[in-house]
Amino acid sequence: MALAPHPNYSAQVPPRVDDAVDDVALERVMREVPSGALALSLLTVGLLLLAWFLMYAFVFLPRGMVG
Amino acid sequence: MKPAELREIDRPWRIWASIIIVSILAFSVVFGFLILPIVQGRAAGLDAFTAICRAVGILPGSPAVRQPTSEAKAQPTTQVAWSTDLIRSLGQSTPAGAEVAQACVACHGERGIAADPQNPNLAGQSGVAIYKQLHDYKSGSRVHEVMNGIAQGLDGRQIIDVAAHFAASPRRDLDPTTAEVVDEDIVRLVERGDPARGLPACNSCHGFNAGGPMETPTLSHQNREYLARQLHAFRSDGRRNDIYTRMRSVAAKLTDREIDKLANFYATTLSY
Amino acid sequence: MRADTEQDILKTELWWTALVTAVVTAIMLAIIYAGLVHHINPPSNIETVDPKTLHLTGEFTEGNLGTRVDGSQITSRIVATQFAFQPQCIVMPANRTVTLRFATPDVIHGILVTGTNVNTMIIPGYVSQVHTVFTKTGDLLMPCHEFCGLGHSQMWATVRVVPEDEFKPGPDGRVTCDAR
Repeated sequence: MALAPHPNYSAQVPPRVDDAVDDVALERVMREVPSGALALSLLTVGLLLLAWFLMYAFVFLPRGMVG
Repeated sequence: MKPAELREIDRPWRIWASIIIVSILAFSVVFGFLILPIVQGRAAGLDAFTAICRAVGILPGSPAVRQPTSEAKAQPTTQVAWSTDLIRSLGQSTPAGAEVAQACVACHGERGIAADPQNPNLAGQSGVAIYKQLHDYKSGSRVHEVMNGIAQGLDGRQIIDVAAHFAASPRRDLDPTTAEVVDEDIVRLVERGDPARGLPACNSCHGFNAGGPMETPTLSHQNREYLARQLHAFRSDGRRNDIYTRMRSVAAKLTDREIDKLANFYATTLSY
Repeated sequence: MRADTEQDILKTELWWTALVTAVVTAIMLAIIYAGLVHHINPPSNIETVDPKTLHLTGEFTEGNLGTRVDGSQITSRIVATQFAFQPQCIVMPANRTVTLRFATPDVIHGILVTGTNVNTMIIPGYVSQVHTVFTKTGDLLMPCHEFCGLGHSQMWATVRVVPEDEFKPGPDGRVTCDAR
């Protein structure tokens, strides 16, 4: 299959309009976004680790010696 | 920045990454091949050297427990062992095979299609299967008042030739008037097996181009009386030359009705 | 992007690297603890056997399979073949160290015993060996867990774990499900 020609994105970009957000506010938001992402990833990784340790301690170890 | 400067910045990272990887590897080797086997081997009463050799794979056994002593006194059920040369020669039909086959005409028919349905058809049967059975008749693993004597009169080369000859012969045609409408549970046994009874599908070994042991015979176009008699013999332990009880364990779980219906299905209806 | 934001991102990345390293280290320490203290580790046994003559010679001939008591050692020898285990039922005593030895004449199989840590591949040409202690009595299911052909889903066996005082080997040291 032949590749489609690369679309000309510049034609699709809407013209820049000045919105109400000023640079300072944007900077503040950009600082806060990572901490939210970090909290979410900490929670998911923490739950995964907890599940792993629960399986390890209450299923794997009691099943006893194998080797 | 110039590439030289970038390399300069990267250098400590490269050094530290290498140090970390090498030390993890070194720890794994020391722990897995030395510490763990020595600690586990001590509990099992093994000396450190033996335990380390086991962990590395030089000696058999895991370090956690002593290795059981293996003893071999048992008698095998068959004497056949397969090799690529043997299987290759079973695929080549020779005039010598047709000559040996003259001894089979009385019971198995002139073209390998038996007149008496108690005897098996040989035409179109897998050469590997015929070889296995003749070899077993010769060694006494399979017992039959006539066949044991005949097989003992054949040498190894003749067994290969006659097996290859019948394998290359055209099969019996199915008579469409004898085909019957088959019960659903029988078709299920043939195609799907019965997991609850641990019964594999018949066709997982006996099907066309199926997997399974290579000595598996073709069942379609076979005589129904012969098939039923063999299944009964496997079930009652009267026939025991199947390697690792593959057929005995299957037949033991079948009912009389299933044996009759299955034999009929393969003999009259199934064709591939 | 301003320089201090870039610094922040780098700092977050380093923190996250440290966290992941800590998680992996904790899991590794738990595995090392299980290996050292509880003797739990993947079954490893490098022992070769000829699959072509498995049924003819050596310890995996048909009459030699099943559970056998030899002195203080309890060993069960099992062949996994398309599409059944032989024997299809093995007896094991509870609370004793037992050895399971597997071999196959045909293709790769695998086993696990439900409710236990017993789990191994059975590879043509090698003897797979597992040491374990069964603590629960009863009939445990042992299915083939490695696709071995069309009959794979019907391939399973039973491990019958009996209390130690009910585990009575015959005069030849053998214990079978039929005898019970």
